[in-house]
Amino acid sequence: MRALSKTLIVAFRVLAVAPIAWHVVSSLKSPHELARIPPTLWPRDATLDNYRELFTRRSFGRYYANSFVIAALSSLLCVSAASLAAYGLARTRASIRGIITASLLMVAFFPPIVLLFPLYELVRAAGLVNHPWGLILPYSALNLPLSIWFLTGYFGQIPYEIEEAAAVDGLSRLQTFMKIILPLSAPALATTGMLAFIFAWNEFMFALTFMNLESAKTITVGVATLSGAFTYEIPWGLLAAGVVASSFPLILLVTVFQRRIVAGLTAGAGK
Amino acid sequence: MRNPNQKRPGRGLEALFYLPAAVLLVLVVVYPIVRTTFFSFTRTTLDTGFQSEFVGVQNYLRLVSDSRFHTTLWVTTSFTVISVALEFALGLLLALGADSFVRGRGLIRAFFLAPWTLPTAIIAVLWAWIFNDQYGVLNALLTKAHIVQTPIAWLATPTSAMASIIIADVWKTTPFVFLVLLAGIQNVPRELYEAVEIDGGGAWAKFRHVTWPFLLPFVFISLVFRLIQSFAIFDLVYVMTGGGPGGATETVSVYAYQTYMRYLDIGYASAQVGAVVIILAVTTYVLYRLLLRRYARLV
Amino acid sequence: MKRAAVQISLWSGLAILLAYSLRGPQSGAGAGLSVLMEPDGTGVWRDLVGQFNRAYPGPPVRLIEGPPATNTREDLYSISFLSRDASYDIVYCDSIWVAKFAAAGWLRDLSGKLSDGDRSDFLPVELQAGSYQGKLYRMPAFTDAGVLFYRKDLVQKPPETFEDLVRLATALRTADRWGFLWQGKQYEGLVAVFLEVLRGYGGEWIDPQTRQVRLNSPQAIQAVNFLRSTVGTISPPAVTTYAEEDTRNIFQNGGAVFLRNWPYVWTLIQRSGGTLKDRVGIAPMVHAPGQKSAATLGGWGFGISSYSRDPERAWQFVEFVTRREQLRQVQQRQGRIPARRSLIPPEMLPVVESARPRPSIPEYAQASDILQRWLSAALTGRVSSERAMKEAAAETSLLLAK
Repeated sequence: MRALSKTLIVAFRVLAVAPIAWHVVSSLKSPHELARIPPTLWPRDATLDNYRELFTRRSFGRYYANSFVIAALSSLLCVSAASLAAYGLARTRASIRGIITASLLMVAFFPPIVLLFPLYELVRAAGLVNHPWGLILPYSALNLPLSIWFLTGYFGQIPYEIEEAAAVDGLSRLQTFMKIILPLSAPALATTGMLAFIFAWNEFMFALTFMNLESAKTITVGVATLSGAFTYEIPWGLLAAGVVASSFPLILLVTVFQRRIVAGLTAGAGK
Repeated sequence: MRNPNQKRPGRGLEALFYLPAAVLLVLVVVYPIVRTTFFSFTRTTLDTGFQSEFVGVQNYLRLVSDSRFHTTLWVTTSFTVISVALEFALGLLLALGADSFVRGRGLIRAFFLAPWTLPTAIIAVLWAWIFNDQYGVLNALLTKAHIVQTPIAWLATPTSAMASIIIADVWKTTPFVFLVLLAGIQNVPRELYEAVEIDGGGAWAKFRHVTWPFLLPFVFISLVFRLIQSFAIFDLVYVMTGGGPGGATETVSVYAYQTYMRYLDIGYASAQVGAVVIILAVTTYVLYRLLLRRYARLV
Repeated sequence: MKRAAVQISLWSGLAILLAYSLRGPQSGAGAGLSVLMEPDGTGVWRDLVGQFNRAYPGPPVRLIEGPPATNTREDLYSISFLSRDASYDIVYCDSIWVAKFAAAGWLRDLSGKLSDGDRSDFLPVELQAGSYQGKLYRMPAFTDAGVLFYRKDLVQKPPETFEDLVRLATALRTADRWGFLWQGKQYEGLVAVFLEVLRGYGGEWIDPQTRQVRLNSPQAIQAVNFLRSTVGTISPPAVTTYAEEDTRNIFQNGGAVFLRNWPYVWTLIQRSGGTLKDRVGIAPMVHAPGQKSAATLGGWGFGISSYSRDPERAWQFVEFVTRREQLRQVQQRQGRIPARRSLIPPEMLPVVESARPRPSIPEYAQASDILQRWLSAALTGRVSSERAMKEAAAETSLLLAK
């Protein structure tokens, strides 16, 4: 049983990476070489043309900027709102806390498509179509339930003595929160922020619907809707480059912060 | 130690702590849910100039006789059941033998996690290229190893197209399931395993009497979570197959999206979405009775 | 010190992010108009846009190349219009979109802008296809009608009826050569083909006046059965997965006696090297005895978005690009048939003038999807022809009921 598991782990590690590696390789091939059957393992004449075309003929630099701004601001907003609410929740009577937590988790129960059309109406009425804030606000909200739940658990573990000491020093609730609790919780906040960032970066359905101007698109939508220059040909080299370009920041993020991210994901299990 | 906060002045401020989150949630979640429910009981289409006419349960009745809706339900259910079963089976197997993982180096762990962190829409593009019948690497490998004679048109036939999206989904989510189950396993007190050993039990006995009962709550929560996510799947199908070939991979969300954006039939799409929520609610409840009750019995 | 530096950089980072995010929706590279087109493989559209921008100085028109699938472009336009945003000022519009876009109020009324000269030069059927409830919303550019291509070195007189077609195809079919090719994949093209057969039997899909669904009729069942009978006999089994290009390629390589396709194939064959061009003829689609040939009308044109911020300029472009000289350029490089009588090759004229449009209803997309699904099920043998037509008729009636 153990041996099987270990083999599987090695196999899965390879399988997890192989498709991405294949795209890196493919993105460096010329259209001519991509049309070869069977495909070559390494690019014969490696070229950066696909990446060049991505950033010049297509608005990739723009997509990157949009995605980054939207993901960063929405995760900041989410963490701010979530930490405030979680702190309030952590210091509330257990019975009320239970009800609120349960209702929050119920929110995660509704598939995003339930929200799509009315949200679109709202965004449109607010004049935020093709505007980054048309996505920043929804994304922050969508990440709130899990973030609040996670942070409430974390804050709940901070001993009361610290707040008592702060009260003695004459700090108000808000000041206690900002000057003491928040810095203490930096790791948890970072984790929450990161997960929210990843979610916002990866989101597709709302981004597809709310952003139809080229200049407003996020990178996820941009890559998924890349179209060819010729009627029946699909630009695989370009797509591969797009996949690599859009995945690269995330993989970087995960590499640097993998411990945090794992901790965030398995938080529930650690109870 | 009693919560000092309950005695402090300025209790009213507490409400302010909730305010930002509450505002966001009401605007982005509560209001849309209510409005979608409202729409589902109206006729709101291009024909009515997008004004809403109340029609009671007519949309829901229409669902009952809509063969395309039945097909999408079937597709979505098969996809969900097969995908989630595979993910959990693989995740469990991986978690059971995963001590080495915990000690693994960061880079390797990161790559392991990579599938889960990538956007689903990008994963769809990624696998579409691998599954391409002419230039895809999968067919190249299969024909080279003589497993198949002619290249498989993965995305062009119903069964293989379904297999393709399942493979892509399992690839993406197994790491997540694995991590959750692993965390659960690592929380099992060692003494319980020792107790089984003393009684002469082997690996299977340990699993059945210790690991599994302990895992059950985590399994339940992540199972429900994954089932809901899977049932609602949109990105993967929309980008990889568009619901094709001929609707063979069309999931409920894709049909609902089309009904909104292409047919401009807002009321009907809202009913489709409402039906999905009802189905999910019932399923969760059934699972709760089946799984958690059992757990309560065992412990 | 270090703490302060970190704080300052964090706060300035935030400020930069906020500044970027508050810039508001960009209307592209300065004031300009855009049009979403099909992929511009030959580059002719880019040239035309360039010609326009040079000849008429002002806010530039920009060409945005969209995906090849017409459904996807329709959805892109819809999403843009739903947002009431002027993402696209000029609409490169398929005939089957006109009713939906016009009913939704997304296209401007162009009725008053048609000159008398143009009114007589544009094909009446195309003008009608671009109209909804009596008003013109789309200036015609190209027309299309389903035609029957045949090998005139094998067939002396082209068939006129369905029976003739089957007889000749069966007789002339060999191991390397199929009898009859058509588009049987589950997409809009299948509806175009089916309508030709259905109407060739004297049947109809949706009555244009009363919106009544006439799918549950003997003629419809006959039509489905006819197409079904070809699969695997005079047509390849895989014909139910073919779109235009698949069938054209086989035919151009000598792989079939008869081909139902659009006129662009004629141009491509004429331009191809080799002897095929002298061995191919065109004829109207076949029909039942006593009925008339019923080519399905296709066609593209240009409309103007109701949300455009510069409709005058948009009209300037539309008027320019639908002129004789400009359409002739596209005809030359792409082989499309312009919607102007003066430019239509004589051999095409009879077919094109009598081509019949698809139902001009706002719910067209959904009605077509219903028909496509049931047709595909019947053609692949999953359901009987009777059941397919009955169910399709029922679902479509539910759709169109008020």
